[in-house]
Amino acid sequence: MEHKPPERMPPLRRVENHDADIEDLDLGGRHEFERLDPAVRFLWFLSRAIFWGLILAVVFFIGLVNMFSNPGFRLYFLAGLAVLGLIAAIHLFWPFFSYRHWGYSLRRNDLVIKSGVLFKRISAVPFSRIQHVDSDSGPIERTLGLANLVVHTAGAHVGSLSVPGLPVEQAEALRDYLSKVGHTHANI
Amino acid sequence: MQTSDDRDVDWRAMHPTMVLLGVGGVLRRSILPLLVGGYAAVMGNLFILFLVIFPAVISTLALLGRFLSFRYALGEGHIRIREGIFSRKIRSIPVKRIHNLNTRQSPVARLFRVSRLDIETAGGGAAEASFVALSYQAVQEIRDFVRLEKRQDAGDAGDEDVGAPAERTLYRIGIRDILIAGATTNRMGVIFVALAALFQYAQDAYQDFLPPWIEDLARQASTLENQDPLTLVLGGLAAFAALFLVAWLISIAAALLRWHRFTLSRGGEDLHIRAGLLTIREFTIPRGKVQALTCVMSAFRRPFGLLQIKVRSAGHVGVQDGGRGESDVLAPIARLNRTDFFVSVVWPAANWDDVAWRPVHVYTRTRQFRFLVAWLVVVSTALLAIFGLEWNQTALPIVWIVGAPLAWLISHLTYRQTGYACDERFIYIKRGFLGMHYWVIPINRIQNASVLQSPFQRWRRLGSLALDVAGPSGGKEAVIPNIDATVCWLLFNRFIHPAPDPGGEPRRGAGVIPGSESLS
Repeated sequence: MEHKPPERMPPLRRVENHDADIEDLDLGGRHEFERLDPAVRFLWFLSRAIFWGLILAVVFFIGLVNMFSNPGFRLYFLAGLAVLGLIAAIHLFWPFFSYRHWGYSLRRNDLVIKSGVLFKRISAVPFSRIQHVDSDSGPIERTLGLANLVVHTAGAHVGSLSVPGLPVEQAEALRDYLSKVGHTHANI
Repeated sequence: MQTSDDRDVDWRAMHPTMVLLGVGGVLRRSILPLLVGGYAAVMGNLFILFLVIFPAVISTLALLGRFLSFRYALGEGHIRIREGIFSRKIRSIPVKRIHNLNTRQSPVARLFRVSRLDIETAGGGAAEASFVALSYQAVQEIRDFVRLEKRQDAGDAGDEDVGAPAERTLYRIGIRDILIAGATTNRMGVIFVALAALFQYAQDAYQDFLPPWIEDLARQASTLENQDPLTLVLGGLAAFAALFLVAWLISIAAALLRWHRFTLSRGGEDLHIRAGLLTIREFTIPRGKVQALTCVMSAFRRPFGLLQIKVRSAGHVGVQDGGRGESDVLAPIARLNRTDFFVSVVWPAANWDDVAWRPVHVYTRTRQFRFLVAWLVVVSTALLAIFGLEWNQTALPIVWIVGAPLAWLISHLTYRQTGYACDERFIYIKRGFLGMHYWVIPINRIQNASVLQSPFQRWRRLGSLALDVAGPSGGKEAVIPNIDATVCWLLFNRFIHPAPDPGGEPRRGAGVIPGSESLS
């Protein structure tokens, strides 16, 4: 077998100010993250409220059934209810924190999406890898005038990335733009 | 056998043996329900037998109908397939979209000189189209048709009768390596459990039918065992060893059946693989469609320095034949020091042997250790809850004296063996503790990428880089864990934009900046 000269890894720029938080890293150029529509907070709040409403209804039903038959049950039930209520409250109001950590940015060659408060994630889809783009909205989203943008790639693990809670016109404009710049079946 | 009821289209039927092979397939698939039904019938419950036979007969008839009505036609850049008696379905597969033509030949098919042909395209859960039985000549016709159409599509329509590109054999696996592959397979455990279950079941089921002298023997044996615990232990060990040996032999035989005369060859831009003892399988891997290579060195194979090399392709390649991952295997067994050969078979530009592995951050070890210690705590709590304090006064210290250093050793090895590297075109990742996983990913095959950061990583200014390549859905993404957040970000931007932009505004976050200092 012929000897191949070792191909060096291209040099990386060393950066002096080490940013601890990946959210603060420079997107390059003039690019900045754009926020979602503020109304998305209420959307998330509402959908979580529906979820917790159902759960609490079931719990209350169980409580009512057992409250009279079992005298020792009341204390445990109330303690459990308090813990559950705390979890529910945190989960319910979490969107008001997490909202500002969501963002997307259209760079020259890719769409960057960031999310996560504690566990942060910044994902990117190069335009050349876009298979197709959807925008969809559920009934609650429609009343708030919101839509989700879903970008499909051929990736096996994270097949599609989505930007939730965009104003409808913006989501549709993004969808049309991304469909235009994306090369369908470009790289498979 | 030609019928022409469509204008200008030359519809052809499959080889007549399809009926035989099709029925054989149905029988093979429904053999277990039929056995259960037969057993029930013997026990006096005919209803269950009927319940089993009825669907088998229906599906056989449906299959026969489909096969008998099956017609295909080649032309105008498409392969057209028409099937169905009551509702006629015509499919048109553009040759452009065809990835592989895979053939499979069972011993019966070989007797009749036919073989099965599967057409694979990107996407979809199963083969796009299956021809259950085609004569050799018909297979060759389809192959030639696809090759010519592809060549015309590529643009050089001028010289049409170039013929098939010359095949060059690259690799053959000897019997010895196949036997080693079978002897060290991970499937052994599964077979072992299945055998044990079967054994147990047989024991339960036939207890009532045993002749009296065996029962007498068993009673004697059990009384003996009651007196002598050593016999009990030895007997158990012997049974275990026997079961293990049988499982081992079965897995060796399975490997021999599957990989006998494994040959990897190359013709033009395609890699061809041919293997099998009874059923001969032939599949094609177009080099241009390979998305990534994964090399798996399982814990059993590590002492021998052996690994398995798999190809990640777009679409469903790899779940041929109803889910048995096969057509994604580039080499069922290969020596670690020969990996470079296989990598360069797919991508001549890759440099496996000269990869300068870079370590990841020590936090990898910390995290792993923390995780294992958490497990130890869980186990200790469970022990305390089950056996009480007194028993645990001696047991718990032992668990921790053994467990803690072991956990640290595992964490340390995991950290030492995790690494990544990249050159202009490829990313290499290795991870593992006892077994090892290697990835080779061409940068221009990355579909999407993510930078991840947990609160612990943020505190240490670290991040993880997850790279997603195309493949069967549910496939894993390649992760470089715990590297410096800034480096992570630079790599992220480079991988997302492989080609540096000439001119324009300088992208500050991204990739190569000429004349800059190399990162140590």
